[in-house]
Amino acid sequence: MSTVINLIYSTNLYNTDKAKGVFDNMVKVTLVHSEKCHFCPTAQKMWRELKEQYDFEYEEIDLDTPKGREIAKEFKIRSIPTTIIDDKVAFVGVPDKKQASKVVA
Amino acid sequence: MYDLIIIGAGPAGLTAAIYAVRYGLNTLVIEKNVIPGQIATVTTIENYPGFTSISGMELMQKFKEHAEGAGATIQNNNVISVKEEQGKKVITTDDGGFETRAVILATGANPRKLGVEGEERLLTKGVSYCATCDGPLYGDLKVIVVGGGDSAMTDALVLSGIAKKVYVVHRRNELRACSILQERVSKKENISFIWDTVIQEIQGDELVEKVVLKNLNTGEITDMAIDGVFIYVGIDPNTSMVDTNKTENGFIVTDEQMESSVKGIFAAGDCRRTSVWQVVTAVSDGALAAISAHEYIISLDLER
Ligand SMILES: Cc1cc2nc3c(=O)[nH]c(=O)nc-3n(C[C@H](O)[C@H](O)[C@H](O)COP(=O)(O)OP(=O)(O)OC[C@H]3O[C@@H](n4cnc5c(N)ncnc54)[C@H](O)[C@@H]3O)c2cc1C
Repeated sequence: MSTVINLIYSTNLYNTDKAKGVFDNMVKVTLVHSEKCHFCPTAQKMWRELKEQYDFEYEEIDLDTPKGREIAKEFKIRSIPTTIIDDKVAFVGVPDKKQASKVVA
Repeated sequence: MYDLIIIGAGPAGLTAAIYAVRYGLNTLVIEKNVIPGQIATVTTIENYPGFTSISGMELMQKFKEHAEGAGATIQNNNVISVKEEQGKKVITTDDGGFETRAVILATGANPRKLGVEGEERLLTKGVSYCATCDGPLYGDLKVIVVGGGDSAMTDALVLSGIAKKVYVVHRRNELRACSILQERVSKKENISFIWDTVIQEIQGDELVEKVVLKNLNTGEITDMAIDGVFIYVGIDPNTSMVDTNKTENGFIVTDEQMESSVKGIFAAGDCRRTSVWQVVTAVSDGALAAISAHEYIISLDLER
C-alpha cells in the first residue's frame, strides 16, 4: 500500500508517448498550485529540475489568484497540483518523473 | 555505512532524528516529499502541546527546522525496500542504495479508500482525501464528507467555510469525534448529517455528479446529486517496503521499545500498530525508537 498517495495523486491523464511528435513547437507546461497544498512543492521542485535539463516553456500559476481561479474553472480542476501540458490536463498530483521527462525531453 | 537511517520525515521521523543526532549517531533521514508529514495536509491542529492553534504545514516546518538545526540531514528520495543482509540493513531507493546498522521506519500512512465503485475513476475529479488541499476548488458547490471521526469533522469544518453545503455521511448514528469538534460542526448551518448511511457508488462522467446512498437501517437506496466526496474512513500504513511482522492491515508490530520482529529495525508513529494515531504519540514513538536504536547499536559494538 505504500504507493497509495502516489497513485491517488499522480493520475496520468495524458498519452505522454505521443506528446512530442504531435507538438513540434516547444511544449508548454503549466503547473497549477497553491500555498495550502502540501504536495505542490514536490511537483514544483520536479518541474523546476526538469526545466534546468530540458528546453520547454514553464509557468506556475497560483490557484489563489484571479488567473488561477479562471484556469481551474476552464479545465474543471478539482485537485492540485495539476499540470497542464499545452492545453490538456496531463497530470494530477505529483507527476511521475520518468513520465514527465518523456513529455519535455 | 550509516549508524541509523530513518525513513520518513513526518513528526515521528524528525523527532527520532533529533534524538539520534544528539546521541552522536551518524544518521540520515530519507523523505520522498518536499513538505513531509500527513499533518501538513491539515488546516489547523489544536491538540499538540505548546501550540494553541497552528497550521499543520507550519508545525511541520518547525519540526524540520528543529531537526536540521540539531544537525540532521534530510535527503529527498523514495525508499523502495529495506532488507537485512548479514547483520547490516540495506536500503534501496529510486536513486541507489544505502547501508546502515539500524533503521527506523517512520513512513506514516495514507488515507484509506472507501472501496466503492467510481472512487478510483473519479479520483481528483471530485473524489478527494484532503479538504485543505482541494477544498478551495469547491467554492459554491455541494460536497459530502464520509466518516465520523476527528479527521472527518476537522475537514467538514474546513469545507463548511468554502462550499455551499456539506453533508456528513456516517454509517452510525453518532460521531466518534471529540466533543469540541462535534459542538463546532453542530453549530454550522451549512453542515447536515445523513446517519446510518453508506455510499454505495460514486457516479459521474467527467466529474463527480452523484452518489448512491444506502440506509443501513431500512435498506433504502437513494441517489443524491453532489459535486465532491471527501473521504475519511481511516488510514493504511506505508509499510510494503519492509518484511516484518505486521497486522492484517499492514501496521508494523513492535514491542514497547519500538523494535519490530527484525532486530535493528524499529517503527514509530502512524505506521506502527498502536491505538492512537496523532502527532503527540508519533513524536513520543520517534523518541523511544531513537533511544532503542542507540542501545541496539551500542550492543553491536560490544559484541565485536
Ligand atoms: C485530516 C487529518 C487531520 C488530522 N488531525 C490531527 C490533529 O488535529 N492532531 C493530531 O495530533 N494529529 C492529527 N492527524 C494525524 C497526524 O497527521 C498523524 O498522526 C501524524 O502525522 C503521524 O506522523 P508520522 O510521522 O507517523 O507519519 P506521517 O506524518 O504520515 O509522515 C510519514 C512520512 O514518511 C514519508 N514516506 C512514506 N513512505 C516513504 C518512502 N517509501 N520513502 C520515503 N519517504 C516516505 C511520507 O512522505 C511522510 O512525509 C490528522 C490526520 C489527518 C489525515
